[in-house]
Amino acid sequence: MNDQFLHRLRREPRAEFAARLKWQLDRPAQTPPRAGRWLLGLAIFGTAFALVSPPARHAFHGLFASTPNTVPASDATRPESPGVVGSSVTAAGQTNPRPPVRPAQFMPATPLPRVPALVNTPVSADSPADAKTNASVGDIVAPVPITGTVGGLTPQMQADRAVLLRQGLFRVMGWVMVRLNAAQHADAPVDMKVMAADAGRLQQLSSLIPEVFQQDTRALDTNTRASSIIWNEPADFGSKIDDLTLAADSLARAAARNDEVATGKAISRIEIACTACHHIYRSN
Amino acid sequence: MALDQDLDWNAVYADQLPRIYNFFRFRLGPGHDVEELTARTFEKAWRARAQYRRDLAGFSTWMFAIARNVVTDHLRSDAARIRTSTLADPGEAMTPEDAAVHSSDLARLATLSAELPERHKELIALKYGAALNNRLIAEITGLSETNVGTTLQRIVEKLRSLW
Repeated sequence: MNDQFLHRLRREPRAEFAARLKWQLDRPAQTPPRAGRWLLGLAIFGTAFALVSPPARHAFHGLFASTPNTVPASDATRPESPGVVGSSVTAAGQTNPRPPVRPAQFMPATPLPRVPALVNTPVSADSPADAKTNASVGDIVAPVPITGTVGGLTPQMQADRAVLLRQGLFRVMGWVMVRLNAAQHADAPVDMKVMAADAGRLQQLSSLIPEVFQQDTRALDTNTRASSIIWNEPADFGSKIDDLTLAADSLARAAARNDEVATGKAISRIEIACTACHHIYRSN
Repeated sequence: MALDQDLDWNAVYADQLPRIYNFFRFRLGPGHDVEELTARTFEKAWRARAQYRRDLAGFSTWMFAIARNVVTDHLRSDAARIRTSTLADPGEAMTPEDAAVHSSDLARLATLSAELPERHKELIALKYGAALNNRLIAEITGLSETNVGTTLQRIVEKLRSLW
């Protein structure tokens, strides 16, 4: 069979790509230090508390009362993408009886800051971000039922706290997504440093999802949209989170090589990962 | 059976990378981010390496099962519809003239095989992109080895007549 015309179309991958990918795969798993995770969890819980508690919320809004909101004009006038970012992401997994709080309200009054990633996952052409964990996330989500009073907290109080923590996490993730989406659709060129920093944040935040869902609140009456399937299908739930983390990793890579097209695709991939998970695990 | 304990990852990587990379090139044609898809495949494999069991499947079979899923996800995603045909293929490491000829040949293959069923496109990608033998292709696709051979022969004859 004369098939040389097909054989000769093969080609070796670029050496730079091969080396970079190998380097990423060989890197030891980078899980945030335990203390760092607790601090991040505390910050998220604090945010959630600020959103729910009326006095705290009032004080919190006061902080921003005198500063204008500088969401890029193109974002402010542009309708939200349905079911992908914005309110859908920020409200992921939870029900909020109040009108949804747009994450843009919490955007700082300064232009998008060039901030480093939350943890030591530097993003540069020489050291691509990689916050992957070695274990399959699905393995981590082993439901822990709420069995009794712990530290003076009744089961109901524990469940309410768990829901608050989850809501806080998803609100922070929504905030990052709004920034990414705004940067992508702004008229100005995409700031790859911001993209890389936010990719690192998403990697870190998504790694917390299994932990904040570890406490099984199904048996209690909580104000949540989290579907009970989460605890019935922990492996699949974990794989959905994996998809999000991998998508965030793609974004970090694309931003590191300053590739706008790939950056756009990676953001689309993140949005698809969000939607895929919400479709199954968030009740309407 | 963990991959780390039984396989030399460096050797596996060196062997599998060009196969997976070319599988995507042949399967999807120009205008797709083949490097990204390759990276995605390896990341998934690396993450799930603890679940790999040599007694159930060969490593190539396992890797290509992941790669096929990545193709499916990619074709389903919105990103796949935005065909950036003007994108330069970063894999070119040749003269601009050679690159143009090479790229146009791949585009030509994509055009000629556009009418083929997806399964036939996959067979071409596994045989000529991934450079797998018919036995492995049969294992991956669930077809018989004879079926793989005869189908490939038919497809190649057709492509050659149009080339």
